[in-house]
Amino acid sequence: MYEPVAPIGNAIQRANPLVVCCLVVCCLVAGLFIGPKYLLVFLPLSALLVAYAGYLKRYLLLLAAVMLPTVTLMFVLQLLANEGGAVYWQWWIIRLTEVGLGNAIRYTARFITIGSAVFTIACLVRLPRFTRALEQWGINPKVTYVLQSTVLIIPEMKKRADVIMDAQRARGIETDANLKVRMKALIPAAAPLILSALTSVEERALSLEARGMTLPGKRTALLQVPDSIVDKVVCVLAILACVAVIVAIQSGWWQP
Amino acid sequence: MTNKTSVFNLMGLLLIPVGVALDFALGSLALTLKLPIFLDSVGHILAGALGGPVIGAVTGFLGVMTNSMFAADAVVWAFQGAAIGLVVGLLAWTGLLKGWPKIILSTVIVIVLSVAMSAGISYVVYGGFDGYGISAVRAALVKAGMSLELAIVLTSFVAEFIDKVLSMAVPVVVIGLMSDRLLLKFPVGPALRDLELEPEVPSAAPSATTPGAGSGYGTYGDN
Repeated sequence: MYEPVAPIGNAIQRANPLVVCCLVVCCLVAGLFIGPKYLLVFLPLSALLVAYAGYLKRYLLLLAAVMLPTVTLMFVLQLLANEGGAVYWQWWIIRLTEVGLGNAIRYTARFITIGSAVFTIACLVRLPRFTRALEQWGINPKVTYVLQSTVLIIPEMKKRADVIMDAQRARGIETDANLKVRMKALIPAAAPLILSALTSVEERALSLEARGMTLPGKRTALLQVPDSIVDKVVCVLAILACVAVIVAIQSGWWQP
Repeated sequence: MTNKTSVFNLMGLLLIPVGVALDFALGSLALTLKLPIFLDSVGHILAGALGGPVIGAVTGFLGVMTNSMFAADAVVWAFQGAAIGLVVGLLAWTGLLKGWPKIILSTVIVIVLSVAMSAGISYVVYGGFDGYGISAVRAALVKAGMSLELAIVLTSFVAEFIDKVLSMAVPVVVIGLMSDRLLLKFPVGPALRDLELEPEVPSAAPSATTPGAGSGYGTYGDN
């Protein structure tokens, strides 16, 4: 089988990306019901998986750069805004209470669980393999094309936005003046961007049709993702385990 | 009134990546202009208006999911994006984006939906303090004695009102600038403007009856 997406080295990199996504999402959903203690297991486990795949540096960088400022702000606000129970410390109008600390831990742990799951998927799953796996599971190639092209168009659109902004600046539109002037600059900057994007939709439709996108029949793909019955069984078991955890917690049988 | 072709034609499908990219690019534009608004819902509002409810919902969901690579907590707001795209699509489909009184009514509906979704998600998932700058205002209001629920709704309303008014205004202005020819290509395009169709000119060429006529580029994969 020809695998153009390199590197395909270890077991995690070779794994079916749909199975990886399914496992991470099931772990995330179960984690949201279990509570803050779950993070002590989930975070090291996801870091371990990402490290094994060879993307630990990227993962930690994402956690630190994207999540740390928000986590800090969220923790402080939850701590200060919620009051109730025993008072641990007080100064002027600032009071740290039992309820505040409990909420701060609960909600920031929830936030970190969601964020780490998103970044785990971002590090472990490559889009071409993901979309190909979807096609192998019977999803329409038009849908997978939409997913792939979404990621491809974004940098192109950002570049086009920068070009339009530069052009409008050259025509005398002020982008560094007061708020009123900057608001006025919005339509001259946004309208050409949106109109050119909509015109490009027509061009894309023409070129895709010219390349046989709308023709019926089976496609031949160069990329094949390993897909066995075991993968499907793992996904079903993960979903069942997740449902079992939710039912056990909601019915009061298990109190984590 | 909508285009006779399938909603899932190629033009409609291609609105999804373009809408997602517009969400991203216009969000960056708002940052470049240092505007106190997000503007990251223009893309899916436009996709909903031109492509219909399903296209709008998918664009909204994917648009917020894509942004979550830069703000992981945004994942939960993907449902808000999907709901806005869906509702704008339905409003466009039923002709409520044609004429200023209807557009104002549609904007009010979108603002109400947006505030309800934003406040609800923030309260349920993050207890009201979601890590955005507006949460600091919320905390100050709660400290000043306001109830948490009221503070969440009030701050959500202020943030969403300005953002959604502009996010609805920009697509409406752009749709107004579009040519009839381009607008007609999109699934819900004909429902957005009163178009005067030109009377059919009888053609002298007999080629209209030849096999395969009308299955060229003009159909965009509807067959």
